[in-house]
Amino acid sequence: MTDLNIIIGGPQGGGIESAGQIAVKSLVLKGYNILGSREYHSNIMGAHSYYHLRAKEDKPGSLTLPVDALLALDAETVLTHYREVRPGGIVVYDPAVKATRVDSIQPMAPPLKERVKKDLESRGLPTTAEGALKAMESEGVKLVGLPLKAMLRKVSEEAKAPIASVSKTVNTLGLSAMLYMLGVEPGYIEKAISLQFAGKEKVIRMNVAAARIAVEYVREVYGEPEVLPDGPHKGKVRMVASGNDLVAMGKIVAGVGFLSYYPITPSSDEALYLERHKYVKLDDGMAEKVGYDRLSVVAVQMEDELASINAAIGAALAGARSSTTTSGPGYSLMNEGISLAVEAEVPIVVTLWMRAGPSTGMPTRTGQQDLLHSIFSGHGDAPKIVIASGDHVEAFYDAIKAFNWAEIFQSPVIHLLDKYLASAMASLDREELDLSKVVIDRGKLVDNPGEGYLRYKITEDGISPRARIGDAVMYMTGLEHTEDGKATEDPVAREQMMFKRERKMRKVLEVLPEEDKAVLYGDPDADVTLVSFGSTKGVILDAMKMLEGKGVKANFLQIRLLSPFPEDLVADILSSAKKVITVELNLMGQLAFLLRAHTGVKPDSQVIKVNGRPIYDYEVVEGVLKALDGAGRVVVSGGS
Amino acid sequence: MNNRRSGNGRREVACHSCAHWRPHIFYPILGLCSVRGVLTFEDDWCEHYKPLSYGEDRFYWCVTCRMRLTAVEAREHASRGHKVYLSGYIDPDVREEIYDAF
Amino acid sequence: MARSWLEYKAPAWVQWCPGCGDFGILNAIYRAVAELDIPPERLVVVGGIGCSGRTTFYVKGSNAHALHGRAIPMATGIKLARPELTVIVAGGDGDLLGIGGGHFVALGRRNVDITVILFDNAVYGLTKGQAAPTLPAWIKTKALTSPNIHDNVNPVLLAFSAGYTFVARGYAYHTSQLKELIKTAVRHKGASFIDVLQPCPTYNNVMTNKWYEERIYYVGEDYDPIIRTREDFKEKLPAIMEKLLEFGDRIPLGILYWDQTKDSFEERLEKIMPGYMQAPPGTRRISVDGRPIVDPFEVFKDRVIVT
Repeated sequence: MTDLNIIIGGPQGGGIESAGQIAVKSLVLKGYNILGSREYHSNIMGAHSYYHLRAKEDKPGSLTLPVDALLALDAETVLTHYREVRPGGIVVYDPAVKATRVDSIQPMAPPLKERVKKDLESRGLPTTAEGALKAMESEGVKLVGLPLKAMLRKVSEEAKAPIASVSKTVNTLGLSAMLYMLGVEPGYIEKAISLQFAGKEKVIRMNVAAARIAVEYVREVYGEPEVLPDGPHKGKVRMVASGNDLVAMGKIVAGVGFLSYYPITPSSDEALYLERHKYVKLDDGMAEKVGYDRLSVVAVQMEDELASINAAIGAALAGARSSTTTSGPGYSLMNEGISLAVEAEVPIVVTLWMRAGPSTGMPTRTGQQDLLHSIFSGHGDAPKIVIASGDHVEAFYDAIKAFNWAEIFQSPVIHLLDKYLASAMASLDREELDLSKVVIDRGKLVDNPGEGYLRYKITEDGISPRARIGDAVMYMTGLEHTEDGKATEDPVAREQMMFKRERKMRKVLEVLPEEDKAVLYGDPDADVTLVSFGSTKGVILDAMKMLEGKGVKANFLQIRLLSPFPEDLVADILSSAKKVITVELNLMGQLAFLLRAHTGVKPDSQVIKVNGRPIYDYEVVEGVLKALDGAGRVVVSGGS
Repeated sequence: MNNRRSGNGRREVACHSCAHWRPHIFYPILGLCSVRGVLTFEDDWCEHYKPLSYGEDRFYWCVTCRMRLTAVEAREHASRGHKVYLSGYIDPDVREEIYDAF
Repeated sequence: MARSWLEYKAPAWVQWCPGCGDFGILNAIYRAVAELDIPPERLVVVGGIGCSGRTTFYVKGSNAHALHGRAIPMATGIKLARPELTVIVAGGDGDLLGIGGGHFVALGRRNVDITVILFDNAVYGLTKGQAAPTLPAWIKTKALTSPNIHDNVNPVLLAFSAGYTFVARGYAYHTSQLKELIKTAVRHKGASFIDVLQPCPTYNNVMTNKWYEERIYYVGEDYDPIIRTREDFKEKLPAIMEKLLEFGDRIPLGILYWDQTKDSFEERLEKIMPGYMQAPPGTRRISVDGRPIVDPFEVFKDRVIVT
């Protein structure tokens, strides 16, 4: 069984992204499933960033530490990650960085410098990159130094290319050396390079030349490595996409017509990807069926999030499948709009990519701190639908379901995800994005409302026929209103509307299948039940297997629907749980709070992580073991 | 182009100490020659060579710190052994490597 | 004239104070849309929060009542989803220029084909007469405990600099002239703005009907605000600036600036996505037999990899 873990680090803008992408593509071409996350600073260029990658035969649900190989494109990377490579692993680096002192690295965070210096000093090592390399060597990590300058000269000479284009191959030299040492045949690396730079022949030629020179060098110095066996996923049409990408794809498949946004991490990349595909040529058969041949999505960068949500509401009123995308700070600004969408019963989808708060916090780091924020957003008793996706595949389908639910229940739907999922890449099979599973349901949307139409007609399920603005004389408002949408302060009419809106939420719980509410994975009779939501899903599923190896039988309750909370279902599942441990990436234990509020179940223990890095499989294991030892709250803190 | 490389060790008179040279901001073994408009290695040399100095009142680029400096700061950083130049070279395709980050 | 203005009168009690300038504006709107023969279900009045926002409920249309300050973004969403509709924003000075000032500017940048009617009485009526952004400094209305120490914003100059392509000023009690301004604004393809001066008899005891009557005048036949070419712009700019800046002893009314050279936002969208107008997001079909019309493996080829 292959389980390959890699970190590729360097200065932001220094080729980490393409190196990471080439690594991902090489391993996918080789037949593996991959999971790769990007960790980076809130900075344009120069600060440390890294790609953290895992390749397995089955789907990796989690990233993990320590890794098998570290590619360090600068001294800061060596000094940041030297404690994250396993004995027997390798580090690929440029010997020219050795003399760099910790203190001289300006972009490096001062607290990290202090920790590193303390560690190196305690080992009697110099506080330089060389000290860190020695620390690795003493723990059995193989040091692979690449003489970059000599290699670049060779690339320049052999490819007969100006140094300008050769300068783009520094990352490729290191990456190819590392992948080759890990047993990836050069053919895969070269094919991945061609895919990465498709359409840029010169760049491909240069990078392929660099890959060959790097491979030749390490083969000469370190000998032929053992070849990594091929994975089981060869000969397939697959997809490699980030969570941001998959949500954008889901929206387009769902028929989104309008997307408003204001740039904010980690949501902007979703909007950018959607914009790249906002104009789709339909094939002739489909064009005939729908009556138009070019599908256009109006994607507008608004002046702020207040405008984003209110423009999305306007487009939804006019009949478009309408959405906006943001993260915590932007969602704070959208709160009043959420309340309006509840009161005026507007079907909008708000994609909320959680990041590390409070306030601006750490914009490029992950967290699950907006659970309560999303549920309780909007003033004045504003019930809404909140769905959290556990992984890339769920992110795609949930983006589509969110539009269906928004229209069926005429309610805002908050699609809750996080920065980790936003930027993490995953490999997917065609069957995993299966359109036969996708239904487009627009609920009680009516094309010809006719005379005497009442927008807020009182009905048994609370849902009124919905006409588009422009098709009937009608009134939509955030003021309390009568059935015809006219403002009222009448106590009886008011109460009717309050309960009408409440009935819709009851209907949500009645109509949604269990798999969209809460899912129990593993043996129902397990010794311990882990409860979580969102992107921890894969991590916990991986950790369950590791726990089993340690004699702990755990199952996992994933809560998908956070509002309205499926309390009967969750209470029922938890009633037979022997021990309940929540796992979440926030300080308050927001899910634990919801469990108590809705089911009366007080978790026996909570595993939390708040350092802005994704949670890893071994941390869940460690957390559960400590919890079983009686710890009430376990804080896990891995990652760089 | 005179591309003499002599003996062992680093040549003092080479691109890396030339006023016309703009080192790559991340991989300063490479840099842009602002006279000839081509990238060169740090130990290349040509007839346009002009020794670096920090007298002119302008901005400078410290490779060691990855920071822009004023003339006063430039002299101070250089005196501490930092690699300070008139400017740095940024790959024109750098955008493809950058994430959404605020 | 195909329709009577009475067709647009929604059955509702109009809750404004007696003598309120809003009645004049409402009447002008009724008459303008009637003369333009806009079917009520194709007319969208988006109101903000405040006295003026209630216009939403008084005009028979397919209307939406927005949050305080957010009428413009809501109207933008509606218009871009269904560009064939007539969209009018009715908002007060606090709503459009105070809390919603950013959106007011953004609409000009986009030049979306929306008509913004500013009910400009210089005070916050529904919250007891606080100073609004158009109240000149040192005026002390009865509602204020001390004189206003904020300077006033110039709405027509702001609209001009933000990029509105039609800028006019009207007076609430001059219903016929205002009706004509509204008709021209609605016909104009782009963001149009009408600053409608109106006394608030309850809270603004300084800028009264008399105060306005002593100052307002209509720009004459000799004043040409129309920009047909870029050269026109250069030539006419000094005279236009003079009118836009004039507010004091004399206040000009009428069309102050009308740029006919610019594409509306919808036209710009059509340029980058031909076919948008024909199948706009609000009304186009998104499924066939309940199934999506795009396959991710066909559309998102940039993420597909054949192993």
